Amino acid sequence: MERLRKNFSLVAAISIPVFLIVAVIISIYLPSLFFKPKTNFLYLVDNPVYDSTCSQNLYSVVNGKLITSNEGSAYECNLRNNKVEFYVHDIRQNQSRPISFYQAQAFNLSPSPRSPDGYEIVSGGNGNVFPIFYVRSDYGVKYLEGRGTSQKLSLQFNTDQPYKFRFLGWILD
Amino acid sequence: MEKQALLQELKSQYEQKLIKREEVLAVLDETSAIVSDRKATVSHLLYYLGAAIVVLGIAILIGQNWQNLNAVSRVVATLGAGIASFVVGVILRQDEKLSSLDQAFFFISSLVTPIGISVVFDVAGYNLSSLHTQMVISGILSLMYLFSFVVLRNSLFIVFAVIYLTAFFYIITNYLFVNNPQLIGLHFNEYRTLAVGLSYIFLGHYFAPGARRGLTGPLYGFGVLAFLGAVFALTGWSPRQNLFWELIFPFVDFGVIFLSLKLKSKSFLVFGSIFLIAYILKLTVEYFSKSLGWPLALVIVGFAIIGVGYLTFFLNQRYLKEARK
Repeated sequence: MERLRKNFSLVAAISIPVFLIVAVIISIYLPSLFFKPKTNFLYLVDNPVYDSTCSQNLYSVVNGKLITSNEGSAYECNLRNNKVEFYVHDIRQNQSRPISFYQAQAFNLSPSPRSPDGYEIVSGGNGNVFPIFYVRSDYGVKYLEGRGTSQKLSLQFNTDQPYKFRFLGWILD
Repeated sequence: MEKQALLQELKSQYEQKLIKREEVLAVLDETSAIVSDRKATVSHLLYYLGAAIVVLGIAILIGQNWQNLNAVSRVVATLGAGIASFVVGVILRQDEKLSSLDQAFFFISSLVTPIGISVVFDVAGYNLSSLHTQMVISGILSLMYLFSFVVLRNSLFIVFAVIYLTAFFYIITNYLFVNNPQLIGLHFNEYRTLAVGLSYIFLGHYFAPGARRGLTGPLYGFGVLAFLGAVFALTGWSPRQNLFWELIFPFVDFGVIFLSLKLKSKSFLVFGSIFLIAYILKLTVEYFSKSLGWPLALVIVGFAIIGVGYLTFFLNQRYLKEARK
């Protein structure tokens, strides 16, 4: 005890950074015990040949159903052979499987950003230029956030082109 | 009091066991240490300057011929030079007459060895920009300098150990947390800098009473700069100020100024005053420049700065300079 009192400053100097690390680990990993998302979601990956906004005009969710439009610019998109892929993301397995447009149309969807069980899809962080505080940018990576924690989503698109990902809705069935 | 009377008094105190022999010797040692410290400072400064120039020369020489060197030559030219300097330092410290020169060679070694270890990892095919590699390198360097200090008891190694432990702390926290979306917007950089600042201050306090009190000043200086800088950054910038930290900041800052008197540290006083001025400027710009108008706000800021300046001068003259006498 006497020794600890004598070396208090040294113990404090070492403990403070260690304490910070331990406190952040606890604050991040403890909530993950309560992280149990249940609602799967539907998304599309756009592979535009010319126009990256094609799928935005071509597909939309109206009254909980996925619909398509062949009018106006959407029709133009079709003519340009725009390739759009649909995926269902299994939230428990954290993996996506491709489905056809007609299969996707069968789902009842909620286009709200927040799922019925309280989770949200968010993007990663931007990079930081200051050397010692170097932060790798992972803006293209998508995370599922909720219950005070988050999980990296394993989705079927190139994270260098995050604009190709488009969330369509939470599957309510 | 005359010398004879003073010695007689000392003798009588010693015989009555009111004062111990070790206490008298400690006071004498301290006095002689201060005198020799001042003499040593100039020569050490020249050693470090010379060593830095040597390292610069080596760096330019290697840099000019880098493309012509093969992997082995690159390792020998960097890590080899670092190890050689270290060995020369160890040899020199065995000789009493040349022992003070060991500092220069340890300094060269301490500057070159990190480059050497990085070159080894580069040659081995590791990506130096990866956080894994940076973590391993800074970890190795931290352990190496701590071990060197334990064996050779040279304060220079503590300086480098602190530098690389700090780098290790930032890299490991980058690796563990920074890309975690839960920490986005939570000012993690500010909090970890605050932790580093506090850690430096405590480390400086630990070294203050002992033979390595020379480390206390720089540790206090960098520590209080990091600590106040982090707290100041946490107050936020208009229009996204953080009211909690804005309210807390003056208490923290005056606490630092108060501590400058208790710890007899000029760094605490100087940085405490600088950040107090910055805080006054910040509040004026954010809250008063529009309501009072810029000219009146500037007048108020000017007087406030004069007040802080006088407070700093007064505290320095009254408490810190007297303490140094």
